[in-house]
Amino acid sequence: MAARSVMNLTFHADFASVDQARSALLGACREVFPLESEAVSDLCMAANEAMNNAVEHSGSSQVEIELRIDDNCMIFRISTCGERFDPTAGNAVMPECDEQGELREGGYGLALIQVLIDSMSYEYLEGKNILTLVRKVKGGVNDGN
Amino acid sequence: MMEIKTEMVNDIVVLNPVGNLVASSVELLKSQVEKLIEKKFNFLLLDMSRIDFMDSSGLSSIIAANKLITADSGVLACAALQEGVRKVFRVTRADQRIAVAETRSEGLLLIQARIIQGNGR
Repeated sequence: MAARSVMNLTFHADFASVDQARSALLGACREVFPLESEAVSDLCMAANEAMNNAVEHSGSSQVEIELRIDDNCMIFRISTCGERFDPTAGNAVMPECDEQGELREGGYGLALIQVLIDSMSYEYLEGKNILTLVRKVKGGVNDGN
Repeated sequence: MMEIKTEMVNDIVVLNPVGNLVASSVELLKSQVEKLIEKKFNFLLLDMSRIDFMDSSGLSSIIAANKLITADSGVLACAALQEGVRKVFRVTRADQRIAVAETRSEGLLLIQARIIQGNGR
């Protein structure tokens, strides 16, 4: 089955809007995959980090997100306008403790995304940074029947 | 939006945040913790039973709070984590450095035990 779009949203680049977008995404994922609570939770957590990064680092005033699904996966796509910025180019390993053995206070966002999803890809198209996150699911789609 | 109710149990301040601990709300937790430390309340239990969702900003705010409190010989413990929050602690390995208890009462016992031992660490 080809992936079909189940949600499109454009929002102003601020953290309060990220909260609303996350809620909408969670609702859409749960509706399609009601029995995939862990996969849904993982995708929404990863998407939340991607949206936070877009708000914080992209410089774009608007953020576009899309959720597509097929029988086997959820595909989250986030787009922002601006200079080319590839978040996948950096080293996304989980931060180690500092020299004093203390936890570092930041740098967990991209590493969390890597852990929570199955694949991540980046492309720069027509002045837009587009990040795509894919999380596989085990069960089938709830098609409403 | 997040709200934080605060109560005292013996020498321990219990913070009861309700909502999501995310980028839009972390400042509230940070400012509450800073005010408590200024007033020399150094034994804090974060009851997370009503935190439905936490992101990396939320985790960072807890790590920062833990640093401030332990630097002053205090103790911070987190208790009653929901599954999603627990996963963030686990995959970042924050649960290896920050005291985590299954329940609020176990969290209180954990802090009391460390107070009896002398301090937080």
